[in-house]
Amino acid sequence: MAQTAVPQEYKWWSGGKSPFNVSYGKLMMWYFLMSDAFTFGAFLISYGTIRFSQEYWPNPNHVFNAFPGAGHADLPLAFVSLMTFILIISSVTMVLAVHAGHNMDKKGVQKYMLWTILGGIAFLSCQAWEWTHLLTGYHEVLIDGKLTTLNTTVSHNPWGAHVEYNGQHVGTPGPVAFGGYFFGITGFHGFHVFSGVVINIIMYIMTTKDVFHNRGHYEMIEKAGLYWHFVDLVWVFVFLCFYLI
Amino acid sequence: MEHQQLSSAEISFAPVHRDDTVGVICILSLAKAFYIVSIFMHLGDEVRNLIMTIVVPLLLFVWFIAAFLWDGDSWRNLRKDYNKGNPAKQEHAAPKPASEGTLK
Repeated sequence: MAQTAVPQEYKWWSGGKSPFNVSYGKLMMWYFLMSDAFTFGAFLISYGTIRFSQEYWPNPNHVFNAFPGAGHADLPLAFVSLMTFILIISSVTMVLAVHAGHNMDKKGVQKYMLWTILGGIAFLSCQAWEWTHLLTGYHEVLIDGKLTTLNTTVSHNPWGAHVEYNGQHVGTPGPVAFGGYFFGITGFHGFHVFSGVVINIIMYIMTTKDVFHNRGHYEMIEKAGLYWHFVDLVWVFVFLCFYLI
Repeated sequence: MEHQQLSSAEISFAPVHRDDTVGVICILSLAKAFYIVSIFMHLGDEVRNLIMTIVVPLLLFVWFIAAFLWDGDSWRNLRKDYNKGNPAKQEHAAPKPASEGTLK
C-alpha cells in the first residue's frame, strides 16, 4: 500500500529500514500464514497418503448430497457449493473493507466488516448443519453377514463399497480414516473461520471506537484481511481434497 | 496407478471421476489460489524480497506431495499383496521372510 517509487539502484539490505518495505506486523502476519499453510498442508498430505493407500474411498457425490429442507433429494455437492460461495462473498466484502480503509472511510469499513462477519457466521452455521447431518444420519450396512446401521463419525464410516446381499445392493463399512480426516481437517478450518470472525468483530469494535481513525491509517484491517483471505485460500484446498476429487 | 481393480458390485458405487477431470479441477484450484494470494492479499504488489521469502519455502510442497502420495500408493500395493484371499501371495506370507521379491 505505502509503496513509493523505488529508484533503480535502491539498496534494500543496507540497513535502517525494512528490506521488505512493509511494517513489522504485516510481515509477521505473512510469516504466520506461511507456517499455517504448512500445518494445513501437512494435514492434507497425510490425508492424501492414507487415501492413496486404500483400495476403496467413498465417493463425495454420495456422501455430501443433502441440503437443508430438501428431504432425501439427491443433490451432490449443492450445499458445500453454497458454503464455498458464502466464503468467497465474505472475502469480497473484506476486500471492500480494506479498500474503504485506504480511503479513511470509517462508515464503509464498518459496513463491509459487518457483512464479512455475517458471512463468516453463515459459513460456520452451514458447517454445523453439515456435521450434524453426517453425525446423526444412519445408513444401512452389512457387517459380518448382518445388516445394521452406522453413522459417519471418527470411528464409523457407512460409505463403503456396495455388495450383493439376498439379491439387493447393500453398503459395507468404508475406511475409518475418512471420518477422522474429514472432521479433523474441516474442524481445524472451521476453527480458523471462528478465530477470523472473532478477529473481525474486534476490528469492527476498534473501528467504531475511532482507534484507526486516530492512528491515521487502517492497516489493522489489512492484516485482519490477510488472515481472512488465507482462511478462504485454505478452503480452496479443503474443498478440492474432500469434495471435488 | 489410479485405476483400481474393482469387483462388479463395487463398480456401482465407485467414483465416477475420470483422471483428466481431476487434473483440470486441480489446475483450476491452483489458479484460484494464485489469484487469491496475488490480488486479494496483494502479495503481487509487495517488493520482490518479500514475495520470495513467502513463495520459496512453499516450494517444499512439491516434494512433500510427490513423496507422500507415492508412499501411500506403495502401501496400497503392499497391502494388496498380503490381502486375505489373495492365493498367489498367501503361501509366501506366513513362513518365509519377505526377502525374495515378494514385496515387489
